[in-house]
Formats: sequence, structure tokens, C-alpha cells
Amino acid sequence: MQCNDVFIYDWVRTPRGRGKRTGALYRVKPVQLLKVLLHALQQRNQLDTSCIDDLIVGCVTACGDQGANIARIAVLFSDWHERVPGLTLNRFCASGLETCNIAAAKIAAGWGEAIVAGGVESMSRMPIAADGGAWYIDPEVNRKLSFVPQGISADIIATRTGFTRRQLDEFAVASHHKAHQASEAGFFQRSLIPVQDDNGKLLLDHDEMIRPDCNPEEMGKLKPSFIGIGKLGFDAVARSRYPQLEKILHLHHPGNSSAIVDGAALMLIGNADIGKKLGWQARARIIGSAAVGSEPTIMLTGNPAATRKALATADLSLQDIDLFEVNEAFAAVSLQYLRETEIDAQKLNVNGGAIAMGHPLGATGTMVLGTLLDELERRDLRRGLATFCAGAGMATTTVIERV
Amino acid sequence: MTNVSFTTADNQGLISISSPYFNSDFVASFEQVVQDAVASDVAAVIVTITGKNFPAAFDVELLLSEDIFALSARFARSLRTLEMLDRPLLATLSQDVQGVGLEIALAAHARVALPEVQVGFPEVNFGLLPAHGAMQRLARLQGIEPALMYVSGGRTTTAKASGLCHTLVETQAELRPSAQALALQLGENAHQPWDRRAFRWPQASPDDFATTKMWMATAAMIFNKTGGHYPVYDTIASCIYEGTRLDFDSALTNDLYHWQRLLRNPATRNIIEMQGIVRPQIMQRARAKRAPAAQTVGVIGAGMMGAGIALVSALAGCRVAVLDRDAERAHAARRRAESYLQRQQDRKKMTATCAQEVLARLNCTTDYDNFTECDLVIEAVYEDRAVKKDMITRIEPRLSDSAVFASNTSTLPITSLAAYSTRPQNFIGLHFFSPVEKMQLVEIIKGKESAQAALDFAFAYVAKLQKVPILVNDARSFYTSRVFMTYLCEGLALLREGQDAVLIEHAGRRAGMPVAPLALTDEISLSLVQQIFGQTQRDGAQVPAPAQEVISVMLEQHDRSGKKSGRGFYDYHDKGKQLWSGVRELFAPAARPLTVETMARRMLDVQADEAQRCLDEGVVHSADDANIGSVLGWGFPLFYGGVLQYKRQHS
Repeated sequence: MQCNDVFIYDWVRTPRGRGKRTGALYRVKPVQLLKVLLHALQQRNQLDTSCIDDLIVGCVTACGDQGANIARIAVLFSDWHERVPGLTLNRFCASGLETCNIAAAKIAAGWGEAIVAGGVESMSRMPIAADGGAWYIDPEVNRKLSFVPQGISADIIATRTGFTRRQLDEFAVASHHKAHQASEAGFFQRSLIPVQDDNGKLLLDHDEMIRPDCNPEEMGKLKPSFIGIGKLGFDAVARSRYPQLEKILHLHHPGNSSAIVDGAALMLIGNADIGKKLGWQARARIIGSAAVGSEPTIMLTGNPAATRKALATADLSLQDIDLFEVNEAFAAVSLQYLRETEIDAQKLNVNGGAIAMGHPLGATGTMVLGTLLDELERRDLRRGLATFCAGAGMATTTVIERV
Repeated sequence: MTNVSFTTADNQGLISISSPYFNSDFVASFEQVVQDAVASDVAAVIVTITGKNFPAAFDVELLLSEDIFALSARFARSLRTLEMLDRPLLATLSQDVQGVGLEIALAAHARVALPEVQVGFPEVNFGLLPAHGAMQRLARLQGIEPALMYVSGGRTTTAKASGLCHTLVETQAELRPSAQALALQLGENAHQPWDRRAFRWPQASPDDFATTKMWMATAAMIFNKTGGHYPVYDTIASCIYEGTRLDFDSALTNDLYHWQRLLRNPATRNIIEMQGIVRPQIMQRARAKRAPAAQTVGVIGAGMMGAGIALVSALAGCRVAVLDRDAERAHAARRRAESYLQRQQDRKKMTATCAQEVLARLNCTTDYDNFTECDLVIEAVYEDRAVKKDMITRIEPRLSDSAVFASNTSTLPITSLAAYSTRPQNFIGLHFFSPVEKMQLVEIIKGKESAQAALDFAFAYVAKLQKVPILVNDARSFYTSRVFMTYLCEGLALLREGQDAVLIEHAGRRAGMPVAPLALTDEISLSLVQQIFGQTQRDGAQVPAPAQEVISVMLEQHDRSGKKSGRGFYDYHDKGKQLWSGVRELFAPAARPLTVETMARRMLDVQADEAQRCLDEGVVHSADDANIGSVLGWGFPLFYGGVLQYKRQHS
């Protein structure tokens, strides 16, 4: 079958608000977050929304306000054309990247001309595991899969690789500094849509969690997060899978883990014809993608394999990539990726990542892919790769190339 | 015999159940009284349960047969029918009610009890669970997490502390009237909470985030405790998790599905066999010995072992004389007893009067003449032949002709000690384990000339202590120490082969052993292990060369003698212990690293083979003795049903 080229035409995101009741976006319903972006995308591109073949939204904790296929509901709530269906998708943390890949695959196959892909997550309203799930709460399944919370997984990675607390903290501090500089320099402005309420009151116009003043010394004082639950039994579970570890060193804490935030992102993806027809400017091609499964207890180590697989689909190698985005789920994930792929650290997450700006689970993939595209353009570079590890041992990668 | 009856009087029905013994007769008669109760036109029904409790209330053979499943289903259905009687259903608890009895009581709409009655589900201690709806009822009465804790805990509590009873009354006579009053109160509303439209979960509901968070950690907490070896805990969690997401009747069916799965699990069957068949049989045989149980016991030496033996003897009702060199030393036995008895009182397991009686039976002395009354003397002095000889020759002349003299030695051959005795037919070994009050096994060592009467006397004594006696022939290291050492040596051999120490230790725990081999060696101390090796060789027996080499390298080249010195295979510090960094450099890494599973298998196999040799050589007399000795003596995994059961199932 002849594959169509897949182009990214535009993308938008909300700022990321602290994922607590004190966060600026707490009062904003997730369907409203999507509405803000759907309207922005519509206006920016003078969209006749009836030409959109699908809205695919990543959402991990898809219950309560985020339940019942929020994608379709957002279409209707935002007064997009009723002919646009909606699909909600969950690949855990990689959801927002996976929606772009699914959209791209449909378009490549010719089964659609223009699709909006993205994600949403209001973690202040729907905490992780609020949707239950056999993996988390069914004791039989939980045991069979040797479930541990992701923080324990990150600590296993750190213990196995021997990263020190200082190394992890320095990486985290660098994320904040890079994000701050990029934010101050306006690198995010092009795609960032301030969130206002319907009375026109501005609720948030910048990423709320970035801390320009943080430093490794201060961060070194933060207490590790997972000692208690480790003792409760998760260390024993971890060691049953990794018996060579005499103990699990608990090195991750809120400072060197991705921040819990609220946010959404959408990306307009289509084939060449519709771009020409409607006068959209193609910005990049999606040229490769992959999703892989990996060992579920350590959970977060699938990125290198997904990277290799995605690069193979694009017939490229690591050397062909100018900028990398590895989701900063935990500092150890990024450091391990650097170690395993031996890529130049200068090419990785050049504008910071989820440690500084936060990780609204379902949406981050789209945000990161979009940010990568913006930065490739700013630096006038050619190819970028974004990769996300995900719950229960998975990872998803996307490769893009500017046109 | 179980007695189940239904009678009526004054417009009230009375179901009385005495000694519920769970078998087909019981279930059939229970079904009958439930039918009778349903058919009758009484205004209320009161259930009384008395007598026999778990585990005596279970037909063990039935548990191991497939017939249990249909019976359990019938019983669960019957309980459900009773509970949906549509008229007030009350239970009165005047005696301890556990297991099946408590399951019946929980089907009642309300319970009246004497406050100090003991209630609980001890099933979990036997690898079992209350399968007939109690878990579902508890979860809906007290909350999901409390139900999980209660059933998994396996502890019995007073009716008052259990929170399961609506009314507590002080006297037996008040039980019925109080139940009748409750019946009136319930009136038209005689339904279980879960059968009412307006049912609300106590505490958190199954969908509350608090419940989600609890379940997230439950499996890990269980694994932490059981190492994945005891399926009953996981099964209880699954029953409660799944059941609380189903309607009540489906939850009952689901419990029975899990019950079937659990009973078919080899670990469960091994536990039932060991606890329900092997152990009771051994105890029964010991009690059946036609020998008087010791009345007056003399203990020589008030050290750890001596004081412990004195304490358990006094607890069992014997008058005890403990002797040591000086009053101060002898008095140590009293202090030990006092602190133990205090703890028991603090935990409300013993009354002050009872504790005083125990103490009154304990006489600490330095005077050999205090032993003249004794019908049993146990020496627990140093493992020094000369000291033991001195004791034997000093004390024997003071004893009656029939008195039995026992040595608690764990290393010296009994026959060789009996040589110092003028009546070797009355000379035996009684090998207690430390800590005596906790360890349930006693090896009765038969010397060459030990007479059957002396051995029978020992059996009766050990049974009186509520401990488990096994008869062991007088061979080097007897039985438990001999087999147990092979485990330790195998761990050392693996280290000598260059296997990773962390993995060796992990393998020990994966095998289900209570302590990993290198940590265990540290506990015992490497110097002592070396001494034992030396003695073994002097006795003309073989010591495994790799183990010996590891010990001597550790001691002689690295001066690491074990936990006591803070330096062994581990470094010991305030916060715990950590494998010594040098342990990896002791020997060249193995060319073929073994998996944890392989190493665990080797550690178990080596014990199984040695135990088999003990049986073949007549050191132990039956597979049952070998099995229970392994479980109670050195902590061989119960879920394997003991060391020879493991061999039978895994080789």
C-alpha cells in the first residue's frame, strides 16, 4: 500500500497549572481545557471543523470529569461540527504521543485527511488511579504483575545504574533552568494558549511549576518520597524481580520527579492534499513511530527500545536526529536513556521537561512533540525524536522531520 | 458429637448448635433446622452456639477431599437462607465462638455475648479461610479494610473488642432476655444491612479513593510478609476485593470459587496435612503413652536453656527445682519467668493468680538435695563432658530408682554420657530448642541402653508441655542439627563456587527458609561453625570442604567472625546490616552464574537428601517425624509440608 506523507500543520497547548487545589487550573473542567484549545485551533487556522475526520485525545485517568469519552464530548461542548467523532485513548504516560501516532497512521493509510490529536489531564481533579484498574487494585492481578508504583520503579533504575542523588538532582535543576530560560525568552509563546474563563478572566498564561531559583543544594534537602511505601512491601516486590539488588535506594523525590499538573494540548495533523486545499502551512512530517512493551516492574526502561524501533521505521539512526525529547518522568529515566543510547546530552530536552513544567499524563506527549517542533524551527534543525516511557512497562516514540 | 436442633416456645424459635464439627452430617442437620425455622411461624429465632471450635471443628480428611466444595456450597446457601428469614434472627454467644461457629453468628441480624467470650477466625493459621460468607458479612458490617485485617490476622479477640456484638451482658442468664429485647427492637426491620435498599458501606465504599489506595498496597504488603509462599493471604484479599464489587449472593459464589482454588493449592494441602493430621497424630501418640507425666522436674543450670526449660515445665504444672552454682545464677531462672509472666499478663493472656501459681512452683536453688523428689532431671549445663559427668554422678544417687535423667546436649552422644550413669536405662536426651517457650519441638534422644519406659515417660512429659516430641536415635548431631547444617553449608558452598552473595541470600528466602544462609552463619558465628566442623571431623565424620574453606578464609584471612563482633558476611551497624563489600572478592566469580531458582532448589534439595539419609539410617523413625521436626526445629518451609514431603513432591 502506498503511504501518504503525514504533516503537522499546527499545535497548541495550555500552560501547565499546579495539579492541586491551589493550582490555577483546578477550577477549570478538563472538557473546558479542551474547549479553550479547540477554539484556539479553530481560530488560528480558520477551520471549517467539518473537514476534521477525528479528534483523538489521550487521557489516562478517564473517569469522573474525564470519563465517557471526553474527546467526543469536547467536540460537541466546543461547538465543533457534530460530524467530528471523538476517540479517547490511554497508553498511560505516552498517551499524548500515541494519539499523534495513531492520527498519523490513519492519515498515512489514507483513512483520513485531517485529524486533531492531543491529550488532556486534570490531575488536580482526577488523581492517578482514581479510575481504579485491575493493575492497581485487584490483588490477584497486582501480585501477578509485581506491581510497584512508578517512583519505586525509578528508584530501581537509579539503584541498578548507580546514579547518585546528586546526579539526579543536578539533572532536575538543569531542567528548571532550561525551562525558565526558554520561557523567559518566549520560546513557548507561539503555541501557548492562555486559559481564560468564559468571563474573560485570565487564569493562567505560563507554566506554573518552573522554579528558576532552584539549586542542587536546596534540592538535596528534599526527603525521598518512596521510603515508606518501599518498606510497606514494594521494596520486597521490587527485589523479587531484581534479586541482585541488596536493597532499593530511594533517591527520587518531588524535585527530581515530574510535577503533577493540569493541562491539555492539541495538534493538527493531515495529509498534503488537505493542506494545499485549505492553505495550511506544513511544518513537519511525522516519519516514524513505534510502541513497545518492556518489563513491567521496572516499568520505565522501554525508551531505548522504542527509539530503535521507531528509527528503524524511518530508516534512520541516532546520528540522524538533531534534537531529542525524553519525557522527564523521573530524573533516572533521562539519565538512563543518555547512558544507554550514548547520545549527546546537549541535544536532550533543550528547553527542560516535565520535571520543571509538569506532566499532565494524557497531554504531555503532544506538548513535548510540539515543543520539539518549535525548537527545531527556532534552531533551524531538521529532525527530532520524542519518546515516552509509560505505565506497566511500555514506551512510545515519534520521529519528525521539518519540511 | 455435633448436636443441631430447632425447638419452639413462646412464639420463638431456638436453634442450638453444640460442637459444630464440619462434615456432611453437620451440614445436613443444619439444612434441616434452617428449613424448620423457615417453615415455622415463630416471631423470632435465636441461635446459640456452644462447644468445639476451630480447628477441632473441621474434618481434616474432608478438607483434603473434593467433597468439601459441594458441602461448603450447601452450607453457605443454608446460612444465606437463614439470614433471609424475614424475622429477627439473633445469635447468643456464651462460650468462645470461632471459625464455622462465628460464621453462623455473623449470619444473624444481631449478636448478644458475654464480653469476655473469645471470637475470631483462626483459619488463616492453618492456611484456610472462613469460606461461607463471613468475609463478605464482615466487610459489610465493619468495613473493607477491617474485614481484611480481621480475617488475615487470624487472631481471636474478646467479643467486646471485636465490635461484632450489639449487646454485651454480664451473665449467662441475661443472654436470652437480651436477645428477645433485640428481636423486638428489630421488629419489621429484620434484614441484614446488605439486604436493605439503603445499604451504606461502613467506612470507605469499594469505589472510594481511600479503598483504591489500600488495595494498591495490599498485594505488596502480603508479599512482604509471606514471600509469596502462603496463598491464603492473597486469597482472602481477592475474596474481599472481588466480593465487595459484586452483589452479595454473587460474592458468596465467588468466595466458594476461591475456596476451591485455595484448597487445591499444594501449599494449602501441605499445611493442612501438617497441622491437621501429622501434628495431632504425633501429639495423640505421645499422650497415649502409658506413662505418668513428670510431676516434679529438676533442671541443672539456669542459663538460657535451663531457665527456659524450668519455665515451660512450671507453666505445664510441674513443680520445678532449678539449680546453679550460686544463688545469683540460680535466681536468673526466676527473673526470666517473672518477665515472661508479666508479658503474658500485659497481653491479657494470663491472670495474676495464675502467674503467681506458676512462680510458686519454681524453686531456684543451689542445693542438690532439692532434687530428691524429682521424677525427671534435665541437665542444661555447658557442653563440657567433665561438667556433665560431675552433675550426673552427683545427682543420680539422690534420685529415686525410677527417676529419669535427661541431658539437653545438642552435640555430645547420649550413649557416651550414659556411661557416667549407674542406670543407663533411665538416661536419655531431651533436646529443647531456643527460645524454649516459643519453640515447639523437643527431640527425645534414645541412647543405646535407654529403656522404653524412660522414653515413654519423656513423651508424656513433652506432651504435657504442649510441645511436639520426636524420637531420635543417638547419632552425631542427632537429627535437626545435622540436616539444618547442610542448608548452611550449601549456602557457603555456593559462595565458594563464586556465586553472587546477594543472590545466594535472596535464594535462601526464595526457598522459604526463615533466615538466609550467610546471615544465619553470622548469627551462629563463624567461630562456632568452625568448632562444630572441627568436632565433626574429630568424630570421624565428613565436613563439606567448600564450606570449611569459606569459614577458614573468613576467619583466618579476614578476621570476620560474625554478628557478635559486628563483622561477618555482613557489616553490622545501628541501622541494620549490609553485606560486607569484600564478600564478592573472596572467590573468583563463577563462570556460570546460577539463577536464584536453581540456588534455592539446591538449598532445599540438600536438606531433603540429608533428611532421607537420617530416615534410612534410622536416626528418625518416620517421615512424619522428619517433616514436623524440620518445620518446628529449624524452620523448613511449612508450605512444603516438611523436608521429606518436599522431597516426595519435588524430586
